[in-house]
Amino acid sequence: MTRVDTTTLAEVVKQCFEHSTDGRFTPEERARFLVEGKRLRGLLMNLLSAEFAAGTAPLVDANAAVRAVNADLKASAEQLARIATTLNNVARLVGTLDKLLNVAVSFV
Amino acid sequence: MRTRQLARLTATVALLLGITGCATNKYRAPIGAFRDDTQRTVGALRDFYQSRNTYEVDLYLNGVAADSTFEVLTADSNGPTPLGAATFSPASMTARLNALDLVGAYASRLAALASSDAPARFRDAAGLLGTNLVSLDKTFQKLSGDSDPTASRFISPIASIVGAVGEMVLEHKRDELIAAGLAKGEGPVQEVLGLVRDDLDKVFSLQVATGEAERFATLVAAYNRDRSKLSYEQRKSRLEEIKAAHRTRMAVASAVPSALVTSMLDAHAALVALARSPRRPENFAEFTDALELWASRVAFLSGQIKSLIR
Repeated sequence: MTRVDTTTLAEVVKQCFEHSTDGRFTPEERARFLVEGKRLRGLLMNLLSAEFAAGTAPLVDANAAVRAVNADLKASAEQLARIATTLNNVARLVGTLDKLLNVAVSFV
Repeated sequence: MRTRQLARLTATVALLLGITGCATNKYRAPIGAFRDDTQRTVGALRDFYQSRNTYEVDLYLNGVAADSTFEVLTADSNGPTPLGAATFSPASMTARLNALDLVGAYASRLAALASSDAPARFRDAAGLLGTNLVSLDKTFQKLSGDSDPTASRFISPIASIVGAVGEMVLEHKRDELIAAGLAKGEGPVQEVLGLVRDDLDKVFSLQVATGEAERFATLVAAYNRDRSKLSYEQRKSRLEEIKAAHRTRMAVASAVPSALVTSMLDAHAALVALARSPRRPENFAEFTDALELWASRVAFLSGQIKSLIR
């Protein structure tokens, strides 16, 4: 099945609109060019919207891959944060232990 | 004896740290700038995508307004008008908007990783641990009557050294994670941006170029048909509309919205190359150059894209 060349069709559409404002054509010819230009543009838009829809499937696949990368980046940031938090908790625990020992000593 | 050994160890490690220097976060600023320009680019492109169906509605109503014999319809002999059915399917549009949001989130996640304060927090926490270990050691001395009371003097400096070394290790780990994230993201992000660029080049540039040509031609035809029935003021007003439509038609001919996406692709490729490089100053300079070119285009090309939004 031959693909329609939408770029060439768009040039034809623009040419029709240009002729519709060209004084070298008669008013009737200009009116005809305007009608044909609008009709052809309608067809072009049908083709472009189909092309747009056809491009969705590969984009959806690529979106899933980016989503996975984002999840990895989030996990990496959490991993780094956990290391510092763990040491923070250890440091606090040592302080707490010291307080507890001092309390125990005061009872001896 | 123990005290002298600790003193020698502390001095040696401190000297080594002084020679090697502390780690610095060279990624924070450039990746932060990458995130900021990504948000601006994604914002401009989102607005553009979301306006593609209303563009057709506006063009259709422009045509109806220019000819009093035309009715407003949701369907005619050619099928649904832009009022009756969206020209570009909502589901396909949603996929594009999701793609842009995901690329924006990718840049934000990279920036969050690059600005992670985990290494600094590790150093601070190690210092706190040293302080608590000193008081704990003194407590044990009280309880057990330790024969070397001066050993506790070394706990704090050793903890500081541990903190500095740990910070360097975490800085290195963070750099590795950023490089790994960029390596994984390179393919999918480049693909998403490539598909967005294709939309702009192959679909929307043709939509807008032919749309502005139709708008202009419709206004001109209506003026030429109606001019004998118009007052001077009405003619002036119509001619102002024609002038504006002509200006847009000419601007569209030279506007290349996809250049914005191309700049972003280039900057992302430069960031990936930076992560793979030895990260010398000249490597950072190359990435900064690509970033500056993109930044200079963002404002100009975003303005061009805005002018295409109806």
